[in-house]
Amino acid sequence: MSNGLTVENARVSYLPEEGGAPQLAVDGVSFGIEQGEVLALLGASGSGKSTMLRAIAGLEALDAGTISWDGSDLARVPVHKRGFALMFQDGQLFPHRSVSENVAYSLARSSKTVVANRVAELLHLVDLDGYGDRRVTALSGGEQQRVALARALAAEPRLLLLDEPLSSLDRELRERLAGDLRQILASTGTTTIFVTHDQSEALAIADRVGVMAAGHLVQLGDASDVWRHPADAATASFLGYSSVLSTAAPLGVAPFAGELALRPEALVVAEDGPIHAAVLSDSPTISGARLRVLVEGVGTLEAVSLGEQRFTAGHPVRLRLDETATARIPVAS
Amino acid sequence: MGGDRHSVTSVRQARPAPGTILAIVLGAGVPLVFVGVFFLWPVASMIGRGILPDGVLDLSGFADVLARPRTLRLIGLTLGQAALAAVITTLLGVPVAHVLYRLRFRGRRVLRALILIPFVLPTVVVGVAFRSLLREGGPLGFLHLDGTFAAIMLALVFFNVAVVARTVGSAWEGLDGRQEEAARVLGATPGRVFLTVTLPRLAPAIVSAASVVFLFCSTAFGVVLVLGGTRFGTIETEIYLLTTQFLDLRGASVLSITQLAVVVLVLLVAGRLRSRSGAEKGRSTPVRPTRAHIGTILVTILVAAFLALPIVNLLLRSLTTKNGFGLGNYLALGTTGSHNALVVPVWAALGNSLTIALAATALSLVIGMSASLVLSRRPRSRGLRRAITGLDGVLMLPLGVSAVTVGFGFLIALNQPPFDLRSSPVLVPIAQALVAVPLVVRTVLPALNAIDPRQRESAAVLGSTPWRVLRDVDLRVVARPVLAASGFAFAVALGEFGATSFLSRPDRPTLPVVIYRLIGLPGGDNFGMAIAASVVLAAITVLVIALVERLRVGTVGTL
Repeated sequence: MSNGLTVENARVSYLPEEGGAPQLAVDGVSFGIEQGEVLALLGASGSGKSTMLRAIAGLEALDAGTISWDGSDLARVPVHKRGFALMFQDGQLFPHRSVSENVAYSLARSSKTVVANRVAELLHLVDLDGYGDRRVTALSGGEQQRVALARALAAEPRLLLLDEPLSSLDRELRERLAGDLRQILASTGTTTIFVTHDQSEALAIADRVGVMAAGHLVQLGDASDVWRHPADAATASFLGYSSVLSTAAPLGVAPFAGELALRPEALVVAEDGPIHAAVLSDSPTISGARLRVLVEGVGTLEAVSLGEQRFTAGHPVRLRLDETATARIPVAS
Repeated sequence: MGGDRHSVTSVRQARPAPGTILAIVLGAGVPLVFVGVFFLWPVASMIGRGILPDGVLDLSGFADVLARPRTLRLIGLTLGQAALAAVITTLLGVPVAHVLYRLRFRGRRVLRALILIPFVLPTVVVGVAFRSLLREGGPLGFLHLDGTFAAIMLALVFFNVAVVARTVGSAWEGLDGRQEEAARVLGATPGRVFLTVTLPRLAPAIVSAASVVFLFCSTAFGVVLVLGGTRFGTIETEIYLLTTQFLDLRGASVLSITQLAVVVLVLLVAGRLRSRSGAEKGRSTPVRPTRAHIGTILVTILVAAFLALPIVNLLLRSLTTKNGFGLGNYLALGTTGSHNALVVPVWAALGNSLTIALAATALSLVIGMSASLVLSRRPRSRGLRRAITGLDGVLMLPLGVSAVTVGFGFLIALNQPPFDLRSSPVLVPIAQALVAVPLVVRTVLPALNAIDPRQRESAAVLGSTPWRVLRDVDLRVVARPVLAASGFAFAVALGEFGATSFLSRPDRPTLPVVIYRLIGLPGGDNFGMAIAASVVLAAITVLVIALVERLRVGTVGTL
């Protein structure tokens, strides 16, 4: 008997629009989430993460496996009785209702004053005081997503599901809202699963991260753990590691059973560095330059240089390895 | 090449080249003259007869005619009947729309096509089908509904369910399903989701469909004439009776004007309601049926049975003769019926119908195509653009005015100079073409409007003359829609009864006219012949429409 949500061996398929055989979107996924926890499902588009979220909400039926809450199976519980809330990527606000009517949608059974107070409280929470009477169509993208969040929180869902909540916004707004979101989720203590393809967003908001690829949950763990120890080469490259080496000996790393994943900043230009390489190209960045270098016995890698020095192709350089920007991937069994 | 080069620049300049103006004048002129002579002039003379009997304004005719208890009763009956039919049809059509356009199951495309059959059946055929079902000795004769208000109501609903199902269904298909999902996930019950999220977005389509049904029912003629007997009727049948039986042309005029006013009012109200909110252009994925859909599925099955019953019965009855099962009724179509009911054999009438419908189709294509080409242009001059919008309105007028009014208008306007066509056989195809032109325009114009104007510009920049641009860009795109429009026009002309019943000459009747005549003299083989003739007419119509449906162009549902 476990608390919160448990997903066991979930499998979901869907029929393609124009007929044909069913396509498997989620295959054999298992995980759990504790009360008050924030879990990010991270994956490229088509990895099955949104389908998984829709299945939890009850919008997709499972072909196999179970989804249960506090130990009881949800298979026969219809969407509206699950007590969850789902916020869509593009908000899906009701255009024929005002901001406060949208927020109050799930509060239909309460008295007028209770509703009014609760709506005001929620609009304050998402920093939209006084927006209640506006038309939702007149709001900016960021404001619409805030209203959608307030609407989802209004029902005090026992589980909040967020489907790419920030990805329709531009970058600056996205970064600001990610911080706000984390704070709102923490202050309301809402158990949350959110789906994203943006690793920095996952890192900024979630306690734990699950990485999905091709319908499978390939890795699940504390956010920082997942970054330090990607499960395999594909996951590593999805998480921003630019190269994965099967042998790391030429870089001066003691042999181990597995592969070494490098972030671009793992190799740094240093006058007394032990690694000899030749520059292939360089492009300036704010803090220096990003290089493509040829390391003897390894091949083409990325490296960074700090400072204003520029390099021409063929220029020999010496590099040092920053092991905090690397990850060791155990051999696939 | 100098001339070509000149036309290249003229496309991009604000002022159209002289050739363009000529083309617009010709393209607009032909349809305008046609609609003017054969629609506006007859309708105007009809109105004139009602309010200007001796060249002086005199509204006493209104007082006279509208004060008759029979007239008042019929106006009330027309409106009440149409309103009730619109309500029932909508209540039945919306669940059918849900099943056919939101659920995913094998055969739904076939069902969507089948449900259209009642709508495309000629009105006289629908009348005969219900007579044969409900009359004494028929399968439902024990209900004693023949000649009752309920019988008319059943036939009107039968006729129009497809209008609601298709109009509402295609709108429903375009609604973004995630709005409903958002509501469900927020804890709304299925009923609340429908009422608060789906219905508000569906309302424009429902109102639009209901008003079209109201319009069709309030101008219903053939069905009511066949089923209503003497007690029930509409303004339409009354105009017919006043003209043909009582020769009260003034009374008929007054009723026609009343009718016109009702139609214009409905169109205005519907137009306002429709324009209030724009249609959504989303797409939704149909879902697999579950137990939650049992209600709408049941309604759909009942409606399907209701739609199939008269058709199946008509088919079976056509094969039943006094001597048991056989083709006797069809063989009798080579005769003039018992007691010499007809002037010509039924097959001859079918020949007339086909010839006339072909002529009407050709006529409506010429008029509708040239009108569409003009309507699809967007000249820069504001005056020209306004003129084009005006032309659009004028061409749609015949759609809103009943066929009986058109036929009646022909009778009183075209039997004196300058247009003395009374005895001419061209009147019938002209009247039928008039009814078909709006259909042609509504089928062809959307395809033309969808052409990116830059295609024409690039063809012109590459050195094509305006006529070649027309041939290479416009005509190529509309080939399929034109074919579909010909099918619609042909089917409509073939089944046309309202105007034709006024205009067809006794020695050259069309098939619907002959069927009506046969059912009016039901002795001997006549009823069986009427049924067999109805099956033949229905089969041709359904065949033509099925071919059109295969072209998959914008459909009747967008009427």
